[in-house]
Amino acid sequence: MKEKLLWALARRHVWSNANSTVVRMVSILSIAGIAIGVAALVILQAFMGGFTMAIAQGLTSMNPPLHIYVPGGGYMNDFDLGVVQSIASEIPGITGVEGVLEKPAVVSGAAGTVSGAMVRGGSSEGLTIGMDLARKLDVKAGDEIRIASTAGVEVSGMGRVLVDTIVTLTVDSVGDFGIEEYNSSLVLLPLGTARDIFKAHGELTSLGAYVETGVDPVEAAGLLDSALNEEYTGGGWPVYMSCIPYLAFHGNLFKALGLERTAMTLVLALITVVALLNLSSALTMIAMEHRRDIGVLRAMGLSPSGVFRISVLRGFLLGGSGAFTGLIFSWVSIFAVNRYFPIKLDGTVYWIDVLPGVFSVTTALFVTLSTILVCFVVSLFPAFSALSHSPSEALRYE
Amino acid sequence: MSNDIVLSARNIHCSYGSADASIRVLKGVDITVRIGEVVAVMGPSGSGKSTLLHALGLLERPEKGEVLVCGENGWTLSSRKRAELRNRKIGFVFQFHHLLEEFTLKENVMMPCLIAGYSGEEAANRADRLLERVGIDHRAMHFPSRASGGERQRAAIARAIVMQPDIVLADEPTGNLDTDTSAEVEQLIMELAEEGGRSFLLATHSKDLASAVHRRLLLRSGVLGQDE
Ligand SMILES: Nc1ncnc2c1ncn2[C@@H]1O[C@H](COP(=O)(O)OP(=O)(O)OP(=O)(O)O)[C@@H](O)[C@H]1O
Ligand SMILES: [Mg+2]
Repeated sequence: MKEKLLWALARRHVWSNANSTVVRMVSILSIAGIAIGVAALVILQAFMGGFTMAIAQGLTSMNPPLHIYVPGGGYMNDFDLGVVQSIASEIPGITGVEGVLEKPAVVSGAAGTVSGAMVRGGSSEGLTIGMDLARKLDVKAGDEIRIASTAGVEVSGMGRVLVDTIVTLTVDSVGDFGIEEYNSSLVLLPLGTARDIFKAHGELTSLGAYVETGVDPVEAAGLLDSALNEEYTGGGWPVYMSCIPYLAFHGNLFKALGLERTAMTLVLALITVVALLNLSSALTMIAMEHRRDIGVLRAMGLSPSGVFRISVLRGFLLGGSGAFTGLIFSWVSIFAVNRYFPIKLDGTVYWIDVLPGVFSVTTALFVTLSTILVCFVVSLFPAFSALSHSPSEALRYE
Repeated sequence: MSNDIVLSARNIHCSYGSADASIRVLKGVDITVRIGEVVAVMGPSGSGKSTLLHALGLLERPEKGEVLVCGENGWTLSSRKRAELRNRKIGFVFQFHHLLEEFTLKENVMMPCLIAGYSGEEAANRADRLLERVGIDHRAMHFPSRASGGERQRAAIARAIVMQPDIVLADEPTGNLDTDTSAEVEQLIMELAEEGGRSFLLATHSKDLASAVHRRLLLRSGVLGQDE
């Protein structure tokens, strides 16, 4: 009952029709300030996080999560693949290893069209071509394309370029690979076909390993890498192959994105700082307006700790409603933006076409709860000052 | 000390201001109030009546002197115990009703019971009974801003006695009312004192109220004397 009473007192002190317009105004403004601060942070995190996530997803969707390569850029062959496969089979979480042959080539489709492309031979069944590349070449599934590889290029004595390996293939499907760069340049086909085109039998440019869902690629890559290391150094050879998680290729990108996110978070956190200053002046004003009431309550036997708790609860109520409003608002706006007003990006610049907002419950709760916690701290000052005058002073206060 | 004394104070000294520019308001006041006694403290404006009531009501610590409420030395208790003593044994009525504006008259009357930790139901029952007794049950659900001056003061009186305190300290309870209303409120106070066998200590300028009480004291130059 006592707690309920303190809540009721605090609630009506900050929110009651009997309050003066000024008190109602400062209450609304401080709630709004906190709400905007929380919403700004949550929305920022949603879109920054969404951007990073979409790019990471795009990159990993077309590439195995673990990348095995020869440092320094040497070639690998089927024997190396066999070595890695047998080592990887000992490592829990790794499901398989495949060999990839990936090289640049020139592709042409409908009459007069030509484009550079990356031809990737791997575990692909048929021939899939990126959708932007298909548009450039004006081809669709079932049409033919010609791929000219540099493997057959010779410069004749007359200075003419002779290309003797031009292979004609049928497009089986047109794919959306998620990232602009892949869509505009990638041609996927079976490893054997790629080897024919590039006249590179037995050769591989890299190996890729897959992990079970739920397994952290970074951890698995570490395990495979040290197993490879041991294999070579144990046999007295120099290390030939290494393994890194695929996304580590783009480590700088993700570092830069992370830095940008931190910087923007700090800037937007300033909104919350201003909102907290506002809250603190609102609480001071509310305390002044109710100083005599507190005197009356003390005359009726409210203890000093009750007075203290009422003051803190006022801050908690304003801060809590603000944070909660901000939380709801941010969830609704992220949902609405994703659903009705998607943010279009230029894929050639940003790799992805649509910026997704990913509402992270953990981040949202962290922002909300830490805001409420700081509001609590802010309300301690007026609470202590409420204790500093005697009931009699409070009663005489007009 | 005989046990029919509800309130007694010895040698109360009070002053305001800093050490070099202080006003000494009370210079050794002694007072004793017995069960069922209605005592009026008279005195010119600024003589220190409110100051005395605040010291006796454990609202402002006097510089010197002790205050016994039902035998307990109020100013030596912890602040929590002192708050409890105010809650159970002392009722306050102020010149301005000092009702909580955000609460209805009924909620205001319930407030001391809720502070004491009574259930909402028990507090509501007591409030209903008292609101009826002071004649404003039809205004129970109104906020103070909607009630007349007399109704507010009746609610304030109901609030002061809802915990059945041993003594009610009333600081000019009719000081802010028109003549007719203040006559009604004065009558109510005298009736309530009669009914409950409850003691009242009133600070007042009102000759009518003063003539109705059992004993009159005069506060002048910081000391309390009998008034004839
Ligand atoms: N907080 C304060 N600071 C300084 N002086 C004060 C304070 N409160 C009261 N006084 C002074 O103490 C004296 C007694 O004040 P008090 O309010 O007790 O008088 P009173 O008898 O109740 O007067 P009234 O009949 O006008 O209510 C006055 O001179 C007043 O100016
Ligand atoms: Mg006075």
